[in-house]
Formats: sequence, C-alpha cells, structure tokens
Amino acid sequence: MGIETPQNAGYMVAAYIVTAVILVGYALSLWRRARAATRAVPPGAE
Amino acid sequence: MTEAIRLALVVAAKDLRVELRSRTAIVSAVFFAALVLVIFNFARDPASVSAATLAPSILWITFTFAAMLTFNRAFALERENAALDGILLAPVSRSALFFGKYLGNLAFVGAVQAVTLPLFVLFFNVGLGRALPGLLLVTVLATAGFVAVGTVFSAMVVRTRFADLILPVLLLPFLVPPVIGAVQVTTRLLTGRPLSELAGWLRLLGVYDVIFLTLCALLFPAIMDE
Amino acid sequence: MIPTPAAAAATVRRGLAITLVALLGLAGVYVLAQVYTPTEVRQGLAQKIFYIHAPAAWAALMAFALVGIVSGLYLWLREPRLDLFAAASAEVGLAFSAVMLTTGPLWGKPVWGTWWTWDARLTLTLFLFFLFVGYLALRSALSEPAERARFSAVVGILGLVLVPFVHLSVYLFRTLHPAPVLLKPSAPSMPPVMLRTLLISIGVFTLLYIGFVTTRYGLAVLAEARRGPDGD
Repeated sequence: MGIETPQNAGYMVAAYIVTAVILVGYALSLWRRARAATRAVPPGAE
Repeated sequence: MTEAIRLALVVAAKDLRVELRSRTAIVSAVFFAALVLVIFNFARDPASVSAATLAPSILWITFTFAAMLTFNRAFALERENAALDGILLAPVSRSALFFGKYLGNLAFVGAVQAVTLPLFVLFFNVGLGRALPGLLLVTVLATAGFVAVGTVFSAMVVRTRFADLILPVLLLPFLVPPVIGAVQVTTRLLTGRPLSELAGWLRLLGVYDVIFLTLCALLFPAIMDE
Repeated sequence: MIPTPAAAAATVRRGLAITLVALLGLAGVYVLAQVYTPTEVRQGLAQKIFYIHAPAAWAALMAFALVGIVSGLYLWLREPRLDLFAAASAEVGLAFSAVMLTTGPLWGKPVWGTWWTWDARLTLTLFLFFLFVGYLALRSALSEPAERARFSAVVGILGLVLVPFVHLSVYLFRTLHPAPVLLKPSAPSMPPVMLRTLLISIGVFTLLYIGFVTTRYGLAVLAEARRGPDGD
C-alpha cells in the first residue's frame, strides 16, 4: 500500500555472482585435479 | 586409580620443577601481560571510553593471550629431549599423563593470572572489593575449560613445524564461549551486581568445563598412540 | 582397506557427474529465484539472496556435522577411508562457508543496514569458517597419514561439540544486548511459492555437496591407492 520497495538489486546480483564464482570455481578445481590424476594412469590399467 | 592420580601429580610436579628452575615461560608471560595492559591504556581515549567499560575485555584478552604463550612450553621441552617416549613406555594410563600436563598448565596459567590481576587493578584503578570472590570463581571456571583444550592441541601441534602459528588458529574458536561468559560476568561483578544474577553464565561455563575436560581426557590417548 | 585405483577413478568420475547435474540444478535455481519467485515487498530484490545463503548455510553445517561424526567413527574403527571422507567434507564445507560469509553481509547491508552483526547465525558462520580452516591447516602440517588422521579426528570431534556452546553463548549475549535490527528477514511464515523455491534450492545444494564430496573423496582415495601399501 504505502510501502516503498527498496532498490537494492545490486547486492543481489553481487551475491549471486560471487556464489557462482566460488562454487563453479571449486568444481573446476576438482575437475582439473581429476584430470591430472587420471592422466597419470590410463583408466583400466594398474 | 590412585596409581593414575599419583602419576598425574608426579608429571605436574616435574613440569613445575623444571619451569621453576628456568622460569622463562612464566617470566615471558608476565611481561607480556604487563605490556598488553600498558598498551591498552594508551590505546584508548580516556575522555570517550571509560576504563570501567573496557576493563573486563582487556583483562580477559590479556589472560588468554598470556595463557596461549605458556601452552606450547609444556610439550616443547620434552620433545627436544625425546623424553615423551620414556613416559609413554611406562605402563600407565595416558589419561593420567593428560591430567598431569593439564594440572601443570593450570598452575602456570593461574600463576600468570595471579600476577596480572594486581597489575590490572593498579593500571586501571579498578575497585575490586566485594567483587573479588566472584572474580576468582569466574576466573577458575573460565580457565579450566580452555586449558584442557589447549593441553590437547599443544600436544598435537608440537610435532608440526609451525606450532606457534597453528596453535592460535586451532585454539581461538574454543576460547570464545568461555571468554564471552567471563567478560560478561566480570563486567557485572565490577559494577556491583550480585553473583545470583549471573547464574546462567556461570552454569554455561561450568557445563563447558565438564564437557571439554571429559572429552579432552578421553581423546588425549589417541594423540599419544604410536 | 583402500580400493584399487580403477575403483577410485570411477568414484571420481561419478562425483564429477553428480556435480555437473547439481551445477545445472543451481542454474535452474537461479532462474527460478529471479524469474518465477515474487519480490518481497519490504526487503526488495536483496531478499532473494536468501535462496542462496540459507541453503549454503545448510550445506556447510551438514559438512561440518559429518566431519565431526565421521571423525568419531574413525577413532573408533580406525578405517583410513573414514579419515579421507572427513577431510573431503571439510574442504567442501570450507567452500560453502565462503559462500555463506560473502552472501551474508551482502544480504545484511541492504536489509539490516549493516554489513555484519554479531548475532547467533552470522557468528556461527564465522566460527565454522575458522574451524574448517584450522582443521585443514593442521592436516597440511602433518605428513604421516595415521598421525594426521588421528589428530584431525580429535579436532573434528572437539569442533563439533564446540558449536552448540558458541550458539548458546551468542544467544545469551544477544538476549542481553539485542542487535539493532531495522528490518527483520523473512519470517518463518513464508508464502508457499517462496518456500518452494527455498526447498528446491536446498535440494540442489545438498546434491552439490554430495557431488563435491564424492569427487574430493575419490581423489583422496585415488592418491592413497596409487601410493600403495608401502607408500612411495
């Protein structure tokens, strides 16, 4: 009714971006470590 | 059981004897405490912040930092002399060893606190008076818990290269509940509140002590395993 | 008993697959929160950070609890794989804690007017972060696997027991010194459509945790399996 919704989209965008960076970044680091590890020994061999 | 108690006391007494002979740890801790108190006095603006407001926090920060200085001492000495292996060969409960170390650490920290408190009263012009018994109680309650955790952690980090760096990182989170409680109680005691008002905090401190002392005594043998 | 390198590599691949699915789910949650969820009138768009912050907190807390519980199991059973799992959970928990610690203030500033308040929730956030860091720092300083496992387990257990005390202390402190609050965050009585978004997000974050931990655990087991019983 008389409530004014604050304009704070900037914070939301920042939070969503930072979250994506952290989580995707961690996933990528895991993926890179996995590639380095499995390249050392071909799958199936021992 | 009495054998275990006897061993604990022997270990504690040995630690105290060694320290009394060299006195380095206690002297460093006391000088450190005095220095901290002096710095805090000059760091604040007397016009805007009264000593009474800051005093409890400063006291407890001093207590805890000085305590951390003493923790590594207990195991470092023995590691240098590989004396721990000798103790471990003895057919005795590792928990007894823990209590011995713990009592020794308590005595050290207590000694540092005993010297720091008069300095504190002196530098900050704080009237202790009727608050003293309550203050002693809260000091004992708050200290007993984190010294247990400190004993366990210093036993662990003494085997690492960066012991002095890792110990604070590990230990500081465990200091927070007792210190919060201690500062709250100290503040109220110094402003003349009765002990009965502080029952909630004191109970929290007490429970913390019981749980962590028990847990540390149970977990310590895992650290000494070969 | 450490499995064979081939089995460990399979675990890693499975973990990565789950992670990929979860990340796609995360993208879906982003869309869901932005487009299909109404904006809260009093807090504005910043309230939508809640759909990321709360599930991250849930994941971090779950990661932490598992570190503590699995540490206890390790000390009891002395199975090395339990230690490797605990370490994996700690690393993953650290990532989620980082999300918590960044999104928390970003939510707090527009909604409460201050970047940080020492309330029970945010303080606990900080503590989890420090405990994760301490746990991982200790591990990196110890090289002998059995010793590292035992010591980490002790820290894990003590850390888990510490958490309720931190919560209690801050709660007791707060009842005496209430933090200045300009606007309260979303009340428990949320409109169903917001609740739905929240629950879906929690599900996605849980899946992400599982994917991360499986991969990280698989990598650790792979390294151990490679090293062999004699360690080289």
